[in-house]
This record gives sequence, structure tokens and C-alpha cells, in this order.
Amino acid sequence: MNWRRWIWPTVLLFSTLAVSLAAFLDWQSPLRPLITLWFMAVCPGMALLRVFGLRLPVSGWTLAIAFSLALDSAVGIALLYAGRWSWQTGLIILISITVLCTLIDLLPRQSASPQPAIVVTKIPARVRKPRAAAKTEQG
Amino acid sequence: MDQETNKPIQPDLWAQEASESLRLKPIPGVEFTSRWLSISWEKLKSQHPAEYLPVLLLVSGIVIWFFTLPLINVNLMNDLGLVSVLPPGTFIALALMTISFSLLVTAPKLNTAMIFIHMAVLVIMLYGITAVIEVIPRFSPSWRHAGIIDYIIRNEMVNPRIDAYFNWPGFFIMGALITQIAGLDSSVLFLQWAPVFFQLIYLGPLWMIYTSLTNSRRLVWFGIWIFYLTNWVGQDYFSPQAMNFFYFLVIVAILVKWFRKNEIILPKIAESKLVKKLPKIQSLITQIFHGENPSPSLISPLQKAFFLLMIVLIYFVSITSHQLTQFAILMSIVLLLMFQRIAPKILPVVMLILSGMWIAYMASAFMAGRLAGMLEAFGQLENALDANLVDRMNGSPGHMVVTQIRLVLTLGVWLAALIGFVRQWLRGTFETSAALLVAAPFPLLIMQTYGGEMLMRIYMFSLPFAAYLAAAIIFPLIKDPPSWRYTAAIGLVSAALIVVFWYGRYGNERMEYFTPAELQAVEFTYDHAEPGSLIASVTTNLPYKYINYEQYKYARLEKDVVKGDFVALIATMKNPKFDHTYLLITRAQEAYMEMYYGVGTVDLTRLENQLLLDPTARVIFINEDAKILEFTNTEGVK
Repeated sequence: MNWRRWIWPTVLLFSTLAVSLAAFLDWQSPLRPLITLWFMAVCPGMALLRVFGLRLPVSGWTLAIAFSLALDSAVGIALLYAGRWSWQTGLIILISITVLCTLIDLLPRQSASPQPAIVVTKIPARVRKPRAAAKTEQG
Repeated sequence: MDQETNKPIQPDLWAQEASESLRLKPIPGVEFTSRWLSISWEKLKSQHPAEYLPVLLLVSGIVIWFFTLPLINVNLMNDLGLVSVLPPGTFIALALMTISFSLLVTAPKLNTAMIFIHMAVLVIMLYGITAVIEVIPRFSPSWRHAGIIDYIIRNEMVNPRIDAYFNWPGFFIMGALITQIAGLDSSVLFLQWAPVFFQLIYLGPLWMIYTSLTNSRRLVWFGIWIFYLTNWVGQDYFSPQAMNFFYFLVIVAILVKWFRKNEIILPKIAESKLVKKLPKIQSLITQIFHGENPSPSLISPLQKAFFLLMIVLIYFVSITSHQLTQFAILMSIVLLLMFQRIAPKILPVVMLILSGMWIAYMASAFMAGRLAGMLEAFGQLENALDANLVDRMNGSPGHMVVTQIRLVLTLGVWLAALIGFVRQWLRGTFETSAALLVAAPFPLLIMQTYGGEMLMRIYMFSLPFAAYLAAAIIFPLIKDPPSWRYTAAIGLVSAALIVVFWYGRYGNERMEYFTPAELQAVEFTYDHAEPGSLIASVTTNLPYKYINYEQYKYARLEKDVVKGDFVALIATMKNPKFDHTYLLITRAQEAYMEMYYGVGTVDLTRLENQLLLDPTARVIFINEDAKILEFTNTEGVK
């Protein structure tokens, strides 16, 4: 399996774990705002992008930030106007989105992005080697 | 004599013999170093200067920059703003950066990573300087925004009757969520570096938009460079508009990158008999509708549906957080659709419904009583121009210089965009999308005056595309790689823009920065003022309203102070509704009065002395930059 495929899921799951521990265990450290900002500004959006097979090197970062901040706002607005404001609930929703999308991303599936179809119709005869000759080369 | 052969030594060999005897025995390390140096030198000589010079220039620029920062004394600033206290080293550092970037962007082979690093360093140098040299976060509205977040955290609700901000609270709700998850008591921590954060995240969508409009990477990077050098409007502080500008850019970026219309159908007018007789007009119409020739970005139908959904979500969040940006987005999309630059026709309909619903239901508290006035102001261009131009042309000589430079820079960028557009046309590319996006925000001017700031906002929304077109004056080139003349031209243009930038961007800095003494006075007020008290100030240039937003009433005395109406002033200070009134007079407010009304026009010390004649008034706090007067209202005291 391609190890690169695991980079982002690992980063996303570790970020989720870090922000959960920092927030729910009330870790008082200057690192906590940084971890929170990283998670809130990148992770949910990046996880969503990857679910839809969008692995874009430069645009990916931009869209991840935009989608993450939009999701943060939407979750906050929904909770506040529903009269259910709680940062814990908000964080759990965002963590759920991130983890769920990352797990879906890890499932084996066909690529969603359009790929040029390559159809191999016939292997040219001259490329084939007789079995005996191939064995001799190996020996 | 040679002792071995007894032959006389030839004179030309003496020197050789002497040098042989002096030659040191080879030391392995030294030999390796000298060989490495000679190889490196040979390699260096064979390389283009753009391959090694930028690293040296960049590092030198950063080092000089950091060494000059402690030399800046903001207390000595005059009405020209930050530029008046910048040491020469700051300009030398930026000059090195400029030379470096000019070499990079005109190099035979573009080094994208190095250019990106230059952009990031430029953003920190231009937009992060105040975060480094000023102890207290600058600009009063950003403190107010922290106060609204504080209100949401404490009350877990919004109250549209307190303030217009609560009718569009999306940004503040997000801020409250992040502040609480981060375990902070207040969002004031975010104020200092917010401009750098926002400017850096603008880089991504700008890159996406520009690469969707052109295949020339030189044009893309130079356009972004110009954007950063001309973005003087200062709307990147901790605010909803800074975030919404990012949303605006992202929506445009997604649309121009992935939602291009594949089949262009020329309008019927192009096929009319009259136009057919005029082939030049017909050709022009064809050019307009075919526009630029970008490389298509393909995505699957599912990904398209996902992007559309996210555009709607981002737009919804934008509606909830800023009253103006949604219209800039809407107008941009409508224009792009009208000229068939993008495909999804349903978007403006959905957006209009969402905007209408929010205004009708969620922002009704703000609209009630204001709608008639807004409709009356709609379309009054003369009033709008007066508020945005004429009324702003006043103040001290230094402030006037700043205002004029801003105006010239704004008009200059639009003019450069026009020239770049024509240049591209002559090259054979009709930049329809960029031109439409420059034009899209202009109808906002007839909507309302926006407190005299509408022209500035229009500039802000058109700048990304105007900067792109302005960069097209130079790029793309017909003959690549560019000659040294282009390097020089880019260097000179950048140098000129950097100088102008300091005036435009930080021209009001004298009244927008705060000293620790000023913050100390505000903190003292909140420590001593009972909830329900009135906090008055001559202007709003204070780091205040960041805590207990709803518990105090605020009054701005500017108009009465300028008129010298002491009866009105005393009436405000002794308003029977309040037991105590606190008047804060600070350095930044004095700076504001001097900059907008001229030195000596308003004497705050005289005002203070006259107010102190009132028997209920007393000075309760004083330091080098602030003074607090307390008025105890005997009628109001129970």
C-alpha cells in the first residue's frame, strides 16, 4: 500500500486526538490555542475534501481552510440559534465529521476523480517470450 | 649554485624553487575545503544569478529587518503615520526583497518554492510589523469585536437589539466557539496577528483564481505581489469583513477553476443583420464571450455537486456574518453568468433566497426603521461620492497627504488594470472574467454610503482582479525568458509601490495604535465603573468594549466637542439615566482630533478644565497617555 495515502489520515486522526485531549481535559498550555486553531482551521475541511477524492496540492489547503471555517461557523450558528450552545457539543460535531470522513477515506474504493481509461486490448506477440527461454534467463 | 649538480640555477627557476620550499604540506581538510570552494565557485559562475542571489538577498533582508525593528519608536509618529518613524534599514530590507523577487520572477526557470517564501516574508514584513513593534493590539473595532465574542460566551445567545453586529453574528459565533475550545478567557489574544493570518490565507484563492485565468506563472506571481503591495485598505484586522473577503475569494476561485462554461453561445445580437455588417463589432462580441483561454480543470459530477454544496454553505456563512460581502459575491456571480464565464445558473437564485430570508427574519431588528432611509439613499450617487470622497478630504496637512496618496493609489491601480487589460487584448487575449470581476463591486456605490467607506470597500473587492490585470502590463511575455529590463522594471515598480504602501496602509497609525498606558486607563474604568454606567469618549479610538459589552452604555462626544457645545456636553455627562458617567480622554483621541480637524482646532485640555468646573466632576485616574473624569449624577443617585 502506498504510504503517502496514510499521511493525511494519520495527521487528521492525531490532530483530532490532540484537540480532544487538550479541550476535554482542560489542558492549560500555550500550545492549546495553537492546536485548536490548527484543528478548527484545517482538519474538518481537509477530511471532507479527501472523502470526495479531492487531493489537490495547493488548492487543497485553501479549500480545507475555507470549508473548515465555514463548517465551524455553521455548527456554531446552528447550536446558538437552536438554544443549545455548548462548545463541547460543537467540538464533538466537528470531531465526528473529521473522524467519520477520515475513516471513509481509508476504506478501499474506486477513485472518484475522472481518470483517462486505458484499455489493453492485446499484448504484441513479439514481446512474449517462450516459457523455456524465460526460465533459462532466470536460471 | 645547485649543490647536487653544481650547475648554476637559472634565474627564472629561482622563484619556482622558493615557492616550492614555502609550500605547505597538504592538510586533508583544507585541501577538501579549497577544492569544494573552487568547484562551488565554478558552479556558481555557470549559474544564472536568479538561482543563488535570491537566497542571499532574502536572508540579508530578514536579518536587517529584525535588527531595525527595535529602532522604531511609535511614540514619535507624526500625521504621516508609521512611515515617519521607519528607520532606513526597513527600506533597505524591503529593497533587498524587491530585488530578490524581481530576479526570481524573471528567471529563466521559475523557482516556485522560493517565490512562495518571498510572498510569506513580504506579508509578515508589511502586515505583521505592527504586531511586532506595538505592545497593545491596534485598531479600536477589533477590540469591540472581541467584546461581542465575550458577550456570546457569557450569555450563550445574541441580542440584535444591542448592536447592529448581532444581526450578522456568524463570525463572532465562530470566534466564541474557537475561543472556548482553546481554553481562553477572551479572544483578545487573536487580535495582534489577525492581519498576517488573513493575508496569508488570501494567497491560496488568489493563486487559484490567477492560474485559472492564465497559463503564465510569471503573471500569476507578479499579480499576487502587486495585490500585497497595493492592499492598503486595512480591512484585514480581526473582523467579519476580513473573513468574508476570504470567502468571497474562495467562491470566485472555485467557480472560475471548476465551473467554467464549456459551450459558449453567442448572444442573438451577434447574429443580427446590423452587427453582421460590422465585422469588427461582431469580432469584438465574439472575443468578449470567448474571453481568456484557461486550461480546464476536470472534476467528476459528484465532486461538482460537493463544491456547489460547499459554495452555498460558504455563502450562507457569509450572509450570517457580514451585510456587504454577500452582495459583492452575488454581483460577481451574476456578471460571470451573464457573460457565460461560469455555468451554474441556479446559484444566484439560491443565494438571493438565502440573503432575503436572513434580512427578513434574522436581521429584522436592524432593518426595522432603517429600511425607508436605505431605500431613499439608494441610487443617490452624488451623496455617495460626497461621503466617500469630498468629506474625507480634510484634516491636518500630513493627514491630507495620506488621503491624497490613498486616492491616487486607488485610481492608479484601476488605471493600471485598464492598461493591462488593453495590453492583453493587443496580445490576443480578452480578459473578460478579470474585467467583469473588477467591475462587479462598483454598483455597491449606489446602494449606500456605508459610512463613507463604500469606495474603499469597492477597491477591496476589485483589487484581486485589478492587481492581476495591472501585472499583465508586463507579463506574459512574447519572448521568454525576460531580459534584464523586465527585472529592472519590476524592481522599480515594486519599490515605488512599497513606499506608497506605507503611507496608504499605516497613514492613520498615530490614532490607531494604543499604548499600554491607554489600555491601563480602560482597564481601570471597567474595574471601577458599576454596570449601567455611561462611558463617554470624544472619539472611539480606544481599546475598549472588549468586556461586558452589554453592561455599559457608550457615548461619542465628537460632534459636540467640535461645535464647542458645552451645554450638550454637560447634558450628556449628567444624563439622569446614569448614576455615574466616565469620560476617557486619551492620546489616540487627541491624535484623531488633530489629524481630522487640525492642530489647535479642538483643545481637549481646555474642554477638560471647563468640564471640571462642574461640582460633580472629578479626575479619578491619570497617567502619561490618559485621563478619566468621573461625573456623579446626584439626581440619579438613589
